[in-house]
Amino acid sequence: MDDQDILTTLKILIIGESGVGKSSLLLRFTDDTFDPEQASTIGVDFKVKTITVEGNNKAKLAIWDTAGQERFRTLTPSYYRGAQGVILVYDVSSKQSFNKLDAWLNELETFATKHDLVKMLVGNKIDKERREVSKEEGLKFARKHRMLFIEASAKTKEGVQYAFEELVEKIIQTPGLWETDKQGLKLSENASDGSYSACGGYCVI
Amino acid sequence: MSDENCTNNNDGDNSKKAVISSSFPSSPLHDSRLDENGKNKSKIYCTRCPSLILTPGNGGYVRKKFSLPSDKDKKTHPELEIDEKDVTEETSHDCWMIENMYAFENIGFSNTVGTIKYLVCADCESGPVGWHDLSNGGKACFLSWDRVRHSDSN
Repeated sequence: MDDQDILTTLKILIIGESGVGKSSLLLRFTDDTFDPEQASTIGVDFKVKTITVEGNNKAKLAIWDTAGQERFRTLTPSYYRGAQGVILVYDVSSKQSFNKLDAWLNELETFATKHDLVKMLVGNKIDKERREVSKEEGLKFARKHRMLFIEASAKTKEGVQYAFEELVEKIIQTPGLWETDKQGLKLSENASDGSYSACGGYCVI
Repeated sequence: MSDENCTNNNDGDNSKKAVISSSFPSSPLHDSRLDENGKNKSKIYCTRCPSLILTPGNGGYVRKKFSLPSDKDKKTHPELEIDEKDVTEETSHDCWMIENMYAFENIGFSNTVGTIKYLVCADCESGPVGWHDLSNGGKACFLSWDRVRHSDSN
């Protein structure tokens, strides 16, 4: 474990409307506790997380949440600079949050410095009863914009870890997004127990 | 902020690098935690959850003065609160200094308060477990021994 090589460091952003559960997704990446009362007075700006990829290598992720800045509509360009991956989140029980996805993609297009960055769409809060956005609608949007897609719930852990792993795998498979002379690395599937219920997992378009 | 209060608490002989190991503090606690290079011998975990914060050899020992707000009981205070009244006088902390944030296994950085980002557990967000001072273009992070768990096993 201590002898693992560091494969790469990746910058990943989590964006989307207020209240769709971005921070909870960030929190839930490796932790098994979910605190519905989670509300940080100061708030977490970003996290460094380590995940294992195939070949017993480690990838270090710097994961940036918007930390409430979305209230100001336009995030600072530095937030987007150098990002290799973006997780775009909407709430399946809020059509409004889904309708705002185009605006988020426009902002991403404007400020991202790596234009082949990997995007993943996450339909969050599938544990809620009142659904306003169907899985098919999410999938269709993801296809149209060439994004990975998954439905998830931070509350039940469904899909969250998987979403990050899929994103990292896709980044590693995308030439030019990261540099290494090791080829063909893939994420291990140790965390994929198949218990999540997301469109056969995800859809690579 | 007291930027230059970092000392190795040495015994006076710090004139040569070759003898630096003899200048590390010598106590049973320090002996058990420092390797021959003055780095952390053990893995370092969150005190409240199993999150691995730092692997061996990635933190260098320093003693540093800093005013670190109290880490409240997560159950009664789930949020990271820094009240004015919590900001106590500067006290000396035995610390691990981490030069590059990617040397951490898992760590969270709070939003900036003044010139400080507090370090919190990346998984349960309890803390602060340390700090990162942005003034003077500093990149180093400091983990307080009192706020983390040292363990060779899990």
